[in-house]
Amino acid sequence: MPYKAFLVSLILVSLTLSLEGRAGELDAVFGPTAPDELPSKKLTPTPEVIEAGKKIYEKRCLPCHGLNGAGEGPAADTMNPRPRDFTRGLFKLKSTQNGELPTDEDLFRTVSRGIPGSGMPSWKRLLSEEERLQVIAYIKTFSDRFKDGAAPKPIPVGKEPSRTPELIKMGKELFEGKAQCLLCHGKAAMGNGAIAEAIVDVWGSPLYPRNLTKSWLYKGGNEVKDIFLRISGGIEGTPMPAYLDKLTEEERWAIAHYVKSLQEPAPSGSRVVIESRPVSGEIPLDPNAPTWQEGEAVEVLMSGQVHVAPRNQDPTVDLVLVKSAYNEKEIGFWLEWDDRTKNVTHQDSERTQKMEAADFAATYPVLYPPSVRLRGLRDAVALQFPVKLPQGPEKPHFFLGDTGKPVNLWHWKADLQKVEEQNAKGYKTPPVLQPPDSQQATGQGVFEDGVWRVVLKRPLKTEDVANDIQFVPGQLIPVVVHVWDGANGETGLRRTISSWYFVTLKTNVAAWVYLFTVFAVALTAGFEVWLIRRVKAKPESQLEKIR
Amino acid sequence: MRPRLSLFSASVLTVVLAYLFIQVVIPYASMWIADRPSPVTVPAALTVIYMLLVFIGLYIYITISEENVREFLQPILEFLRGGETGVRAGLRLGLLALVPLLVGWITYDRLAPKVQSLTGIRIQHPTIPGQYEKLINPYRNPTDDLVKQFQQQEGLDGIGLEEARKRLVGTALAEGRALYQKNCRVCHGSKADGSGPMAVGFRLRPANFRDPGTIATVVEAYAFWRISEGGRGLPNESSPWDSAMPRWKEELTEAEIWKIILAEYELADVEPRKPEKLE
Ligand code: HEC
Ligand code: HEC
Ligand code: HEC
Repeated sequence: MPYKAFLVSLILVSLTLSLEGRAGELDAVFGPTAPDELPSKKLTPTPEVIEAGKKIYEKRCLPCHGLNGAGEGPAADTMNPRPRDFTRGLFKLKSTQNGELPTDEDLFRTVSRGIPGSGMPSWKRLLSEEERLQVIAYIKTFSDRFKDGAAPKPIPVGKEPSRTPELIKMGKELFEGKAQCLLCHGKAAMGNGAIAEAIVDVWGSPLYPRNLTKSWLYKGGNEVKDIFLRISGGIEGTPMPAYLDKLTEEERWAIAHYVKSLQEPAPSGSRVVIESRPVSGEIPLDPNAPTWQEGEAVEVLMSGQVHVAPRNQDPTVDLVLVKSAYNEKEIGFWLEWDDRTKNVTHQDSERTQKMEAADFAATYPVLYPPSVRLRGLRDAVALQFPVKLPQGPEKPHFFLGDTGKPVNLWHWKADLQKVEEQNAKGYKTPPVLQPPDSQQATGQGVFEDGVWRVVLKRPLKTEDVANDIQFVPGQLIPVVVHVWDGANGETGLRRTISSWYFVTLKTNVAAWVYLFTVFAVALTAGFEVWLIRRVKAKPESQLEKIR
Repeated sequence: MRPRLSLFSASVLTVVLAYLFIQVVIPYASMWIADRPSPVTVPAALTVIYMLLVFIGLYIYITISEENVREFLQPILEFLRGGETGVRAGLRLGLLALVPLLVGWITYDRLAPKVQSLTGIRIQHPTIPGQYEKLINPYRNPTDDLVKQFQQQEGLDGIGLEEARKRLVGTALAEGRALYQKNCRVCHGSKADGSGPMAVGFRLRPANFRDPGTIATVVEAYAFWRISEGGRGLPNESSPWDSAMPRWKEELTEAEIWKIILAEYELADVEPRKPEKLE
């Protein structure tokens, strides 16, 4: 029977589809989301177990943590923070008191989950529980500190109080007052406290206090209990202090609840079209003007520029919010992103000049190690459009275009508070500044409490059609966002970039659309009436016969 | 006669159930089977194809006999005739009014200016350019010449040829692993699973080499081409403009790329496709 055969085929097709889904499996988009896991057993570190762990270590961990576990693997220089040096026996994420070693469960949790915002990946999917326990047994052999085998002193954890407004208020007062968290993390907890920029870890690399509002960048888990443990034990190897002896347990729970209340969910990045609103009147340059309070912003996801050297492997900007509005003459873009420091001076040097284009001679990271940052650089943002509106999907390459397919850049520089219009044809030569009479874009930026807000605008149409994008309502216009965080040593190609997003100038509905709609309704209704009349014209008996 | 569902109601029920199956059961089943964090929605185009199949199936079943057709049409004819009173008459009128309104709504939805659809089809594996097609990885089964050269370089005359061959492959693999982690890790991930620290920001995600649909389906020469020429070297049907994949021939030597390929397959726990026998 075809009906049955069809149902069977439907089920088969569906099953194939679900299996296809498994093939495309990727880790969760934002770091490990695996639920907390404890090992179901303990493994005695027999020589066989350690030997098995060594094998896993050499294939999976050695490239970063090094042959001798000293954090000196061949890839170590490409990351900041650097891979942990196991020989020192110093660990960041643990449930034990400051100065103590982590428990096996702590290590198991770290190895399973990975460390978001660092190079350390999650091993939950790739290594079985047994394998993870074996490799942990092996890494413990690198440090003599594990030899005596005494149980480390845990942080006493009482019952977690439930969240109340009073507790959060108390936490806020402590965070800003007695506990002095704001000194490093800043009042808005964006990791932008007064001394944030000066912080260095014990391994000598620059390090930022966490932006506590970004729930997806917590290294040791973002739950209240995780935060409680970090506050109590501190983060060893970094200036993040331990508060076990300085604050009561209730006070530490209060701060933990307050910190939790600041967290925002990870961006989904699901929208790729920025709808430019038609407005009457001026497009304001002031980013805090009422026009820019309206409308929903599109979340543009950012990545470090790692396409060509000099690369940016430890970017600080991972998200830019974008809105747009236009009138009959101009189009404006409003951009907002987090930045710990306001950098409004700039010093050019031979080095920065060289970073404007690809530097193949200096294969990363020899000349540009992420742990050494250039100083005295400006913050900046740029919008990139194709010079020619694409017909069909074909576009210039998202990173600065190609020869033959140039892009148009509006580059706002914080030190100048000015937009430079440029053109680029790929990364081999620096972008070219347009002549003065072609410079029509303007911009203005405001920095407030760890956030840059910048507006860029330009006439919809320009004379320089050979070099400028021309905006046409209703079309999808590709756009890429570039951001530079000066304090992070970003200049030239060391920057953060997005992929191609799109902007479209929303238009109002034309009159003929309504006309056609009314026509369609009338036509259908007419057909219905005709049908009923025909059926009614047939004698009742005919219906009876059917029955 | 045993009371049973009329053919018309059964058809409507089938359509509704099929739709629910596609929209609810398949997404949740896929989530469960593929161990995903959220249900996997069936793409709109596939939904249309599935529903079309349902309609074709129903059509065939209904038109199998004259009697079936009559049974199916009867409730519709009765509905059009009318003659009910009270609530049922009101319902009939309501339903009759609904149809033109629905058509109007669809018409408006089609005509009103909207953001164009962005979904295009991207070919992940276009044809390999001729000059790359016949290349083979010198480090997979090194020739005697290469091994002898290696022996000379390293001063390994004392050991046999086979032992030297093994060492050569081992050295190449170790170098490849290091080069992979240095250069490819940020995007493709240290586990070769496409989830490096930068992967999130690229809308065209870096390839997941553990996925049997990527490097496991191609020969090593293909990987060599992709690594040498990068995203910019792709033909238009593979949207080169969206690919962050660098052009590694600008930064790495050919030997380095072959070593990386050796390590890339090993790290991903997959085998390259065997090249077809050359005549
Ligand atoms: C791609 C590089 C990389 C690989 C591969 C890697 N790690 Fe790491 N690992 C890191 C980095 C970077 C850190 C330091 C993160 C930080 O300080 O925030 C780290 C930290 C750690 C820590 C310290 C956690 C703490 O509490 O301080 C442990 C334990 C660890 N790794 C175990 C492993 C094991 C076991 C493997 C192999 C199965 C492995 N790592 C593979 C990069 C890597
Ligand atoms: C002297 C500077 C300093 C002070 C004071 C400080 N922190 Fe930190 N904190 C840091 C640094 C630096 C890091 C990042 C460590 C790293 O990335 O390894 C950090 C990280 C954190 C984290 C992130 C943990 C994770 O899992 O990623 C939390 C939560 C935190 N701090 C909370 C607090 C709270 C609450 C206070 C006040 C009670 C506080 N910090 C005081 C410097 C400080
Ligand atoms: C800047 C990010 C980035 C880096 C760094 C990078 N890749 Fe890629 N790679 C991608 C993206 C994105 C794709 C998917 C799009 C495409 O096919 O071009 C890809 C695709 C590939 C493919 C094609 C897989 C397939 O089945 O089609 C291979 C092979 C590959 N990369 C190898 C490498 C190797 C080897 C390295 C290091 C030498 C590397 N990549 C470094 C981003 C990157």
